[in-house]
Amino acid sequence: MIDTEKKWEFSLPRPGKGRKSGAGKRSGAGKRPGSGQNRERRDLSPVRRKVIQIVITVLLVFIMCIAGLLEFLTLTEYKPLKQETIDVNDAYQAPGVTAGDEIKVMTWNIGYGALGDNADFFMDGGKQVNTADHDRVLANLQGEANVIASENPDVIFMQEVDRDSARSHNINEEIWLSNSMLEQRGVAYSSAFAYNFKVAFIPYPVPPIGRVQSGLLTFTKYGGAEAERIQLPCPFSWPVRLGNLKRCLLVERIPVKEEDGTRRDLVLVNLHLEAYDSGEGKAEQTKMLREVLQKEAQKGNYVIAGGDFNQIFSNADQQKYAVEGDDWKPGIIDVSQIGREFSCFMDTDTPTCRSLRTPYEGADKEDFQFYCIDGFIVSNNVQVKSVKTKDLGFEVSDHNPVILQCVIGQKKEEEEESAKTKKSTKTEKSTKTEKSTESEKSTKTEKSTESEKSTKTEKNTKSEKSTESEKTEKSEKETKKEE
Amino acid sequence: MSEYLMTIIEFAVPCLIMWGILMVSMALDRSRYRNCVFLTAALLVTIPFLCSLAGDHYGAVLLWAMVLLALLMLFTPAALIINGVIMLRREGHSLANILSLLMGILIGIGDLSFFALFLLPILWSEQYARFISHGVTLSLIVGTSILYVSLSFGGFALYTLLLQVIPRRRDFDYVIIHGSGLLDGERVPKLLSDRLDKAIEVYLKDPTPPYLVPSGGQGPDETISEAEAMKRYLIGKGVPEDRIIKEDQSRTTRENVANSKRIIEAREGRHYTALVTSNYHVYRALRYARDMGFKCTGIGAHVAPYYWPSALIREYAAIHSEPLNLAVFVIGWIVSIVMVVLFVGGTGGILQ
Repeated sequence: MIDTEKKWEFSLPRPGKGRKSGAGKRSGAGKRPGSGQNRERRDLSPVRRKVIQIVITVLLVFIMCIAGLLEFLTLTEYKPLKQETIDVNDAYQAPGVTAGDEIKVMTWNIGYGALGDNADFFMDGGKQVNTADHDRVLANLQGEANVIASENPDVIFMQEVDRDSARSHNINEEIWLSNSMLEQRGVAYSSAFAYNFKVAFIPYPVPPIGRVQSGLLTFTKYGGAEAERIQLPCPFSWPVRLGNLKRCLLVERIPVKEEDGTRRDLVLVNLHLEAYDSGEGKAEQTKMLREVLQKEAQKGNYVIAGGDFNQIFSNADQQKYAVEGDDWKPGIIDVSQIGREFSCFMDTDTPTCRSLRTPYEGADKEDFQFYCIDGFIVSNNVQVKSVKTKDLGFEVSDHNPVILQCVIGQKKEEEEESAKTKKSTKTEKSTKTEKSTESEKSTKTEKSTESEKSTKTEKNTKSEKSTESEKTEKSEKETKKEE
Repeated sequence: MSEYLMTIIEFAVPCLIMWGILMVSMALDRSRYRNCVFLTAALLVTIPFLCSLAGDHYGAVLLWAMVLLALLMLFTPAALIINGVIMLRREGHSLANILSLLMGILIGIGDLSFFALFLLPILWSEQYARFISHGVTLSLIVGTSILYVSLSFGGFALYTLLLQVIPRRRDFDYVIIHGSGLLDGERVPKLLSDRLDKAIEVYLKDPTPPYLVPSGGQGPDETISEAEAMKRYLIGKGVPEDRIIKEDQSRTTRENVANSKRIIEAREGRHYTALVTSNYHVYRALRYARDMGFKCTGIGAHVAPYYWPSALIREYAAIHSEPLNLAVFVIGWIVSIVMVVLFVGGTGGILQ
């Protein structure tokens, strides 16, 4: 029987009693100063220890979640190439474009179907994040479809069209609108879509915006189009860039049947420029837009660019929409920088956009902040007859549609043709159009430049109600030509 | 700065944050459960970072990495079953020894059912429908669970490994040696002799020779206490008797730590303590020490590799016998299932 287990080298201290020195066995040489303190462990109470542990853990886990979110967003970041081909959904047996065709182009930022008159938005100083419920989005979309049906444009530039976003309740607005328009018109439109906002989950504010898939949508009545997406410079850097738009130009090219057989395209450029940057982003993007437009003009193409510039043209009345207080402020595009081949059009008679700082419904309309930031830039080989912003009272969107009437090419066909086409007639509110039709008839036999000149002179001398900007721009051009 | 470099930095930032969190957490306390979670997160986040180094080939490399991980997960049940067979052959039939076999079979069934429920519908249907039928939802839950438990267990195993390789101090005052059952009531088995050899190694490497504290009481089928058997072994290996302090009252690991702690703290002088046990056991022993407010360094002794799977499974189960850890594990499981179902379900925005 072995009794070794009871033989201790030294005795265990009993609880409550003071310290007992180990019997002769010490580490090192003698007592160290302060060794008494070493033995008296100032342990925290177990509860206190646990609490500290939990606090540390929660803090570290929180940081981990942030890092995890950053990682997830970086992994799923939408990174389009500088230039990408876009598939066009060609409508069945859609016609082509012929030189001399008169076409109606509409541009409309539809506010992803959720920025109707009930909405204010936190980014503009308002309070809401979720601005419309499912039914309201459908109602807004229906309102938009009705306007399109009544206007019956040949080309539609749309911005902020959601395909699958939390903010619009995952409704595919592209498909919804396409179907509605097909129903109302009986014939489908051709369409092309380019993403400019694709984020798996935007984690701010509270409640978070969540998933966004949105972009530019161009409808046309024509077939045979090719489309491409041109990435615009993004002013934001990582990680802010992760939750932001990757803005672009949606460029659609439709071949134009020319009399003399030359190869020319109708180039339709749908755009939505930077909104919430300090100004440099807008400038950079406008610069690239200009380069793209110049390139097309040099080929002799007919170019119509339209959309939401988030800036006002310098040839439009700035004062009318001056910003008071700390509402969001648009930038200014210097139209002389765009180039001699182009003219810039905005209709300042009606605002194209409203502030989202407060809801529109029930607000004091007199004291409300409006903007004029949607318009067109058109190459001079396209004859612009009118640019008009339609006043819809901001019921279904925070933007109004802007409508451009124009002719592809310098002159129209014979008199019979112009008599047949009732479009550009006296029924139009704009008397200017009337005058231009008349003047065209009388000058049809003259050479193109001369006729243009006299047309414009006639237009100019007649002091009619017309868009201020057009007039100023045309007289500017005129003076240049005459020089 | 070139785009290539920018992209690498973007992936490096979360990666560095994750490793930073792990290091801070380990510096504060090596025995915390959260360290396993942080290690798993850090490793997961490092994969895309390494892939981003491939620049333009990033997409292809990431895809290959995912494929490799998937293959690893598929290979695991097979490996576990093989290991289970080895364990039964070498260590005899007991519940503890068929753990890895059981785990292998369980995971194997899980993997197969996941494939059956989830992938087949995708392969068969022409267009992957956005909204999920019940079968696919169930398969998502099964698949996520397998993935979650694998990551949880993998993180735990890797953390145990990490504890072995990180550098540690050498200058100890006391070295507690964790006892184990004896052979024939009095002889030291391989498992224990490995621990004792490790303790001797620490003793020899120490600039000032520490006290060795073999810890273990006498079991019902043992003739001497484990501490006594260990002491005899140590003396047999040349350790001076006056450097050995026996602790022979404990019957569980917790008691090992508690009793040894009391002995050590009763003595004068510094108390820097090392705790030597089998490498897979270090984590749990450290937790017991920490819970008692006993700061010590864990040192793992070598163990035959074929032993690891079942040993780690046992440790994993034991760790989750603590209610707080179990709660965290279950919450994590539920959260990951909810998130996957929501995300794939197409609602995307979590609050919508």
